[in-house]
Amino acid sequence: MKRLWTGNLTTGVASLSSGLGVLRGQLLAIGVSAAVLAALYALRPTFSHSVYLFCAPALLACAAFGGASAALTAALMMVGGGLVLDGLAGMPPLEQAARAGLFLALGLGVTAWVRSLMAQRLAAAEIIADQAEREELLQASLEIVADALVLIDERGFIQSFSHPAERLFGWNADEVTGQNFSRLMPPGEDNALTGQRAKGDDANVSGSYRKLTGLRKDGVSFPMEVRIGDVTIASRRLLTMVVRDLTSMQEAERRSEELREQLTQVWSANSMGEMASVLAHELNQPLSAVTNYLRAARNLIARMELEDDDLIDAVARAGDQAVRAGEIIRTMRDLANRGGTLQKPESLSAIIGEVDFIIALMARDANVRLVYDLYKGADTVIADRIQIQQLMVNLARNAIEAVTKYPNRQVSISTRLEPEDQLTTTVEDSGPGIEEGVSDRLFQPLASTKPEGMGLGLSISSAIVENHKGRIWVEPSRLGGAAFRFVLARAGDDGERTGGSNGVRRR
Amino acid sequence: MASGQADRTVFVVDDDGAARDSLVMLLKSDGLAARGFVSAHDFLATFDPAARGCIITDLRMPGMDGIELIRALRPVGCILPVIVITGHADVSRAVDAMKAGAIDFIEKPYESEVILKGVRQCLEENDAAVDAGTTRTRILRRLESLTPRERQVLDLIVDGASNKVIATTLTISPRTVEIYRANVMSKMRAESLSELIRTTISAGVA
Repeated sequence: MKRLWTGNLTTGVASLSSGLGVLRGQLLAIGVSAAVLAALYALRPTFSHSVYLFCAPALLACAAFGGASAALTAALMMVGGGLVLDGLAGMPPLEQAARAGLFLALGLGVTAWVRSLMAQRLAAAEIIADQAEREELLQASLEIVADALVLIDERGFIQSFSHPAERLFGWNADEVTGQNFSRLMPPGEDNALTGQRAKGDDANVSGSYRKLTGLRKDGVSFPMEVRIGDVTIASRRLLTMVVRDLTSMQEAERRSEELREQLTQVWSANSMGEMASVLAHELNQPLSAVTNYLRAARNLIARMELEDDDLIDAVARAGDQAVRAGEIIRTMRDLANRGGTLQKPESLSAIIGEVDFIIALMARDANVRLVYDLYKGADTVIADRIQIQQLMVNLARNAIEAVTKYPNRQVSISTRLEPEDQLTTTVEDSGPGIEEGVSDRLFQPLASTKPEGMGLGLSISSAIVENHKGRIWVEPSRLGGAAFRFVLARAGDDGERTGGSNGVRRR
Repeated sequence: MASGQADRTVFVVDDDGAARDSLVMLLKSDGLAARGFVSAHDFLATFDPAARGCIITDLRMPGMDGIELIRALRPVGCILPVIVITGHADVSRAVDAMKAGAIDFIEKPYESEVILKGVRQCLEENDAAVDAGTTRTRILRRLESLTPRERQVLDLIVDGASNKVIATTLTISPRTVEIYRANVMSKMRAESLSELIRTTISAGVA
């Protein structure tokens, strides 16, 4: 835009300056003609027969320095002056007229020639200016495109090296132009490029992508992606290499991976406690049953009053072992619980906000529309931040997994303040919902409805909510699927639970 | 089995089939009448206010849980003592259970002896609440809970016989004697041999 405007201004200045030039040419023509005629008049006795001979160089000089109009003016003035001088010299009128006509013809010829010459020069200047402008535009566009562009000929020698390429590789264009492209890669790496180019036909190379290692001037290598195209310029075939630095992309990917890993670790440490607790409960049930059965069997066997005590001993010892197994589990559970939970006043929306990106990642991968609607007011709860985050991610993951197989994929996460200072958090989806009859056992361990599920997710979720003296349940969602809701008591700013009666909520 | 024993029933409420069934079997093997229920609702639906005995309920159950069951008992006129058992070591829930009126709170897995002891205590409390029994009737009830064989063993113990002598006298194996003897101690709620002999003699039945 700016460039085009500048162009217009230049054109204006040019026309203005050409006007000035014409004026100057006229003055020059008048001055030169007057000077020549005056000189001839003074030297009249000596050169009276060759007036126009002396005028001719002056006319040419006017044409050269003053342009076509100056030449015309000078020719007319010289013809006028010549006629007067010839008259003074007593030349016959016919000869006077012939000489004047001849000189005028010469003047007009010079004028026409100069005019056409000038027009050509102007056209050439315009073409050159236009070309320069295009060049600048092209250069500017190449600058804007962040990817480096390197043009090489068929033998791999660099013909052109864009500014981004200079920045990327650290070389100046002058330094590498004419060098082989392999200069830009670590030794050996070019085989990946040239080797393939040698055996495949060029049509294959053109338009292809390569992931290669690049080498900067300072010797540092970096991952790059090279897109190869080919162009024909003035019947020369050139290959365009568009080079993109993959470092920042890989960096971002690595960072995101690292974050995920950290969170997984924190959570799995946290989950271990929950898992231990859940597993302990699950194993306790059958172990209690075994202990009871064995004790009952021992009583019954005793009543049979067998002579041999082996059976009683075997059953009694089996019972002892069952008790021992129970003690091991109890110890494990106590150890897991000893870590305890770190419950302190936290903002519910802030807790949820911190896992927002993880949930967003999961939703993006599954192409799910995710909507948040969080309560804006005071939402302090007494909570273990990581546990609640684990709970949120669990519920969100379930919701996202529930909708993936369906065309309408929506998940909504919302918090709301209910009467009695209860904060309800809802994670709902547009999936198929929970089958009737399943919802009763849904929060029990090992009750998975997913083929690959262990069925611990919701029981851990439920354990977390119970740890916070809250309540979790499922109901049909307005989105058509399931709505998992849990309530936590809102706490005052001093961290005192204000919800429920006397600070302790019961199920 | 004595007549006073049969009308006392231990009601076991647990959603876990094996836990419920094994507990019922254990109680029956100990000479107690026991019935299992899948849920609190099941139990309340068939509940007879005149029933004697006690209730053992699991804490965590789908639908109505153990504490909710305790709370639902009073309004229907049930005064049966309640033992709550749970697979979770959950102190706050234990407090809740005791506050609601549970006699005992037992963690799974429990030793059979622990639950039998708890049951016996509950049964006596129930007896006391019903007929305000004296110490003597309480001991008589304990004696009634012994099987004939256990009663024979008790008599021999009071006579001062050793396990070996008891085994020979009754022609049973020493291990069987040991089990009978442990059962007797448990049923008579005696902590030691001397306490066992003293309470038995004081009841004037030996």
